[in-house]
Amino acid sequence: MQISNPQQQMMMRMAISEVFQKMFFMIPLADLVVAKGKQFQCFVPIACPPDEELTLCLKIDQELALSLTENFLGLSGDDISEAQSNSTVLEILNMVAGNFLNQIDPLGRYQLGIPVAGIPKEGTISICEEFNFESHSLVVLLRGSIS
Amino acid sequence: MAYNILIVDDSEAMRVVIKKILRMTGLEILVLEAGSGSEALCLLDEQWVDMVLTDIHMPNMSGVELIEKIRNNQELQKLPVMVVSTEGREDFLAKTQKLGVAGYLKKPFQPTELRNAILAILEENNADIQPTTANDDEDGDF
Amino acid sequence: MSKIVVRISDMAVSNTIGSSIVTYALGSCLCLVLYDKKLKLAAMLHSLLPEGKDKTSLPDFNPFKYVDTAVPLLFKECYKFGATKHSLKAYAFGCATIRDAANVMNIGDRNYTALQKILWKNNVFLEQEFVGGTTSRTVEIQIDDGLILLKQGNSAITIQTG
Repeated sequence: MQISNPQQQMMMRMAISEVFQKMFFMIPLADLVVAKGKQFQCFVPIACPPDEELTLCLKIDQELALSLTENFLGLSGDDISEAQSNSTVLEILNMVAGNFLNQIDPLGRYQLGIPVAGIPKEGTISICEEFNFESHSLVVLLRGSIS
Repeated sequence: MAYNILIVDDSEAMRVVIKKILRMTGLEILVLEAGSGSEALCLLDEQWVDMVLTDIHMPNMSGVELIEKIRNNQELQKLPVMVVSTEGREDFLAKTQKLGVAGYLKKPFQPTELRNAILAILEENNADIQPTTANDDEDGDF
Repeated sequence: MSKIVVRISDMAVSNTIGSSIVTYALGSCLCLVLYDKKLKLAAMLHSLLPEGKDKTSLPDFNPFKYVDTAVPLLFKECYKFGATKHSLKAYAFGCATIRDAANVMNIGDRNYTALQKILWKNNVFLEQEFVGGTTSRTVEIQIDDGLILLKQGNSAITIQTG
């Protein structure tokens, strides 16, 4: 089954929207915004042995990360540690990646790795989805392309 | 009646969410936590557990390996295990079904979905699942 | 049987035996119903928009207009009758996509999401939900037995609460 790039983009958008609406109670706003303040970045490797390797990356305004953590854990901002906020964003990436793979790779060719904080090594970007949640920026990139 | 439920997930945030849902059920539940399959096995060695909720993709030992080890252990063979994971692809579903999981819930989920799945499993295992704690906690707006 | 009608941006709480609470023409608005089986207490809310917490200082502010300010008031009103958070069961209706065909504003979705957010923060499960779609709904709860009668489009459903 060959899935075109626009279809992949749509699936990625749907995966992100579902995760954000269901567990973080956020619906994206239509207009885009530029990143502001401190950012948090993380990525998760997605491998297809023997030699295909993709990376799904997420970049988020730290302030948005805090709001998301409040919503996810059902707590107020003051009670949230940076570790909890980072753990929440890593879980978001895990859910987005899993949800995307469930749609795009039902037979399970690709292996989902463990999300980690940081910036991944360079690679061709095949999908770039930008969002505005509560006037803050969230960017999801897929490096490498799905065969 | 009190239940011991083991949550196995490498995400601390997700464990907090699941703990909150367990507390919201109003049942008397003692929560045990592990960040990987291997940690979970150590806990299962030491503690009585009524039910396991496990993720699939974790460092050290995956959820699938954990379930295999549980099924191969004579003492734990019949322990109800439920998968709570972002993984929803056919081979994982088939593999875990073969290993006799009691339930499979895909992340993202709604709180009521997880509660209903947990209550159904406890009921199936002949538990009396009347809420015993008040759970009218003070936090929040009302 | 007397009917208490809940209009847009309003709520009602009652334990009057033989009565029911009803709301009509529910589109993208949210209708939240609470029922306490032991007390035979029913409550209903009909809110128009998701968020009003930054509008509370406006002179004509109506807290029942907004999901985030109305839901706490609905629960608190029930507490006055002796109900507790745990004794009340919650049911959601409405949040459809109506008029705004392209769904640009997502009002229905936003109302539903605002409800989920506040219930989660306050440790309340939503027992059942009949939300979304494009149909208009009428919701009625009978105080005696907690039965909810839901009309959506041409179909009618009876929901057992508690």
